[in-house]
Amino acid sequence: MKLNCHRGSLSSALQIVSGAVPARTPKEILKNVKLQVTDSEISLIGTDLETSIRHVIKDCESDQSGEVLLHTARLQSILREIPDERVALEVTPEALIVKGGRSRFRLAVQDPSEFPTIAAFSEENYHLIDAATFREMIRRTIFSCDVESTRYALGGVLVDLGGDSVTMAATDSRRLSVISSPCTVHGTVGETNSPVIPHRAMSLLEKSLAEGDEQVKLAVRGNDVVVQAGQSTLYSRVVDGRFPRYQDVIPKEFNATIELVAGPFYSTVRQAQIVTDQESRGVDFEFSADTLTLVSKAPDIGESRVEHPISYSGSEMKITFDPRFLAEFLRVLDAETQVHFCLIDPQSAAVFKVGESYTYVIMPLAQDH
Amino acid sequence: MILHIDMDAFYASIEERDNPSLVGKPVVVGGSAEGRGVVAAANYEARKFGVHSAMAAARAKRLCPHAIFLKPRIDHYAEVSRQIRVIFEQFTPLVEPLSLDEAFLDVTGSEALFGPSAEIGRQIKQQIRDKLHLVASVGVATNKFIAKIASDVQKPDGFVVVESHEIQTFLDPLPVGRLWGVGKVTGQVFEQMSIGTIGQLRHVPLNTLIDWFGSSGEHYWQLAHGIDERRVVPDREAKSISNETTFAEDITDPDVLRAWLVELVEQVARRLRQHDIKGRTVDLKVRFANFKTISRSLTLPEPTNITHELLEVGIELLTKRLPSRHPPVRLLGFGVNKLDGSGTSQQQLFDRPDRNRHQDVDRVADQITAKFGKLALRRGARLDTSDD
Repeated sequence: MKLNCHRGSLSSALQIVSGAVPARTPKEILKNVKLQVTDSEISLIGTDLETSIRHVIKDCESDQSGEVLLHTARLQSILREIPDERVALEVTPEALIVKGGRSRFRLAVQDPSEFPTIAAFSEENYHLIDAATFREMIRRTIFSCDVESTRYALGGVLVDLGGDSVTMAATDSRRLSVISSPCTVHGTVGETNSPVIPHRAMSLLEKSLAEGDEQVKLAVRGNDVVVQAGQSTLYSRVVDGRFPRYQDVIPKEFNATIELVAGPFYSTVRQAQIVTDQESRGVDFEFSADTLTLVSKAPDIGESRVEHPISYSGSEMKITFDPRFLAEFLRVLDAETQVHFCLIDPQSAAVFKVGESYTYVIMPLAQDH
Repeated sequence: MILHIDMDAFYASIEERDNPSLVGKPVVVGGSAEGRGVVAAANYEARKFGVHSAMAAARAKRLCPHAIFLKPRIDHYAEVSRQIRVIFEQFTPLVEPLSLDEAFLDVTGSEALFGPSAEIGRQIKQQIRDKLHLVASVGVATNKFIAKIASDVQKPDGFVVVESHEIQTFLDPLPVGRLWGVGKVTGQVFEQMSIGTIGQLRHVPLNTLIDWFGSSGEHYWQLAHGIDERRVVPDREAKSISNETTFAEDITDPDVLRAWLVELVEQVARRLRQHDIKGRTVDLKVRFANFKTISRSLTLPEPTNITHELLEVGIELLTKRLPSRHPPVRLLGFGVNKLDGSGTSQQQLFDRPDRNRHQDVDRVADQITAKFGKLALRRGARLDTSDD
């Protein structure tokens, strides 16, 4: 089998698929990716058995169908180092030969039949979501996942699939991101489908979604989800365990609502973060007439006061937050985004709202006892 | 001046005190003579037969068949340790506990109130005897290193004061093995160079020592000259709180290691709670029989001083993060750093009934231990805490 590929296309396909390749595994063969040529397409497949990606390589031709295992890291190095626009691959039973204009690599190969096969997307019934929206939804929720915890259900993003809308939620039990968007259904899907998709799979999805992709297809099959977007099809095991009833902890009524613009407020929060350390993570948010003052103190470092003009006429109030939780939220917004900061009191959850569809809940720090 | 106060055969002495019929008989605390287990402590009577702590209980039984074997009551010992600490704190807030039975005190600032350091040391020793009916050995000196040796040289029931002008005469005749940091390997080098005493070492020029031992050379030189600038660091100022124990006999049984870990974690957690501080990063230190030392650490999402949470992480490190095959263990240490004394906690969105429950367990345990020390309150399922 002989292939001729655009080096950039092959390289970016390899980049995306390598996201599923495990860094450490007892199954050495999984450190490879499989190149598979069928009548209709040429694709790369990577998997760690939990998460798998199949990605169609564009601008690539083959003289026949077949398959071969590629050593991920080594092929990546070759594609990075050779200068040629096109690269030729030749597969024999004994070896893989990679040729550029002036370079030739002959690499040992392993038996591709020992590598799991990942099918192309062939679901009949699925949800359809705008790709750019889907990507933004991931970006606005994934940072709230609890990747350190042993509470596994929090280690992923809940994807609540309704008939005409999809909601994503992620929380580490200190803050919560919730975002909704319209969707459509192709075929027939169950009434309620709420898989928790692992952080890693969501992150891979976000990276594999390209600018031009139009629609994302998402189907749930037992313990797996299948997502197809543009050239990529991703399979992931869903997370076991119960995701908490996040709707219950989103306050509905507030004592004060402050309007902010994301960019300048992010800058204020970043200033306040300078004088914090691991040991004293809290920053006091002091609300007074027309001014929000962020006060930080850290033993051995110093202290800071940063003022931010706001429109506020309520009584004076001080709430302590971990500034990281604000910064991570503000970071995923465009600088000019309008944000509503909704407050109850120093002990209760505070809520940021962006438009109607994006809600971010954050718990304050409180004095012990 | 610095005091080093070291309780004599602490666990065994408490058992003798609580049950006078044991006095004069060899007493071994820890393990069971029939099954597995290690000696946690032995009284002086038992030591005459060669029994020492961390020795396999079965071996202790062979060496001293008529010894009385008792189950350790760590919580009780911890309570007595707290009572001793109350005595210390009458004289100075600068108390640095090293373990349940040992502490450094900086009494420099207390002399105006209570008289000379030696007098303070004598009063503390007397109060421990009068109030608690236990015997402490006390070393009084200008720094930690000398104070620690001083408390040891006349043990048991020792009381040694080393004034600054007496340092050289005190140190010179002592064997070099007394220097902190001198183990088997360094000891052999000194032997080859015919250096037997600290006095002989003191006459070796600094450069020569650096040639022999690299940066440790300067450390030995300083100690030989009686120089040690380490401060007494009370827990509440500490950057980390830790506890470690060296086993006289290397340990291979993972269950025994785990049991020791439980004791270390309990002590560290109690110290954190005593000062209302929490820690975020947990460190496990293991030194193997071949002296190779490794540290493993894990950072928690939230600072904690809940015994159960610290123990979970400790056991995780011990069971999953050590090399699967490793030499016997000579030393085990557990510590917590990234301390948070801010007195604030991150509030949670969702109720954590389990966390509240463990907090309650700790609070009640601390109260009971403080109030009724003799009640041997012990955490259940000591050896299989990871299974819950």
